Amino acid sequence: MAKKKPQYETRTYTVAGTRKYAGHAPGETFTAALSPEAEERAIQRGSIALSGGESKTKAAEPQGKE
Amino acid sequence: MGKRVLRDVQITVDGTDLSDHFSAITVEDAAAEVDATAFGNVYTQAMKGMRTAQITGTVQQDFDTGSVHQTLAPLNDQEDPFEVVVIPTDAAVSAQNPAFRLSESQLLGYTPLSGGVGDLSTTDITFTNSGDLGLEILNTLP
Repeated sequence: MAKKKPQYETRTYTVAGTRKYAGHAPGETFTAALSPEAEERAIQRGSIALSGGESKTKAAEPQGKE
Repeated sequence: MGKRVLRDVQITVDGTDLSDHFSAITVEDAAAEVDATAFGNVYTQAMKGMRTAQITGTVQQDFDTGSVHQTLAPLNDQEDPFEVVVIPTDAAVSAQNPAFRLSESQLLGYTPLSGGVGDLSTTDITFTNSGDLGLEILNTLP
């Protein structure tokens, strides 16, 4: 049986750089429930940036907030 | 839509669209053949064994910010799975343009540089399934 994917907090991001991210064009703002790991990787390589007033990545927040 | 020439396949690795750097892609979902032939059978009988899902491709190397190397190298280093999505055309995902998704992919190796003098810098890459979901065929993207 397929296991259920965990649910993550939904946040608002802006596509940075020159490549599309998850179907969103560069410069576009979108909301998504990314895993903390995926969010951190995407921000580190410059694919996306946090927007909507967020400054801290999910990975940087205390455990158990999800 | 009928027969199709591959021109605008969409390839997204861990969210980042690397379509314009891939020159070949193969999506596979296979099962091992297990011989179940027994005394009394006239024909050999095969059963489906363990399934294997993977996506393989040839990608043109690019060391620019957020491009091929900066996407693949960290994924090769880490243990966490990531998502790879392949869509046959750049049209909206539908039953006639399904998305093939390995939601729990991993890289078991990555060759950042390979080639001879005068060659285009390309590397062959294999995204292997690491979870229970295997290869999903989606008519809409969540």
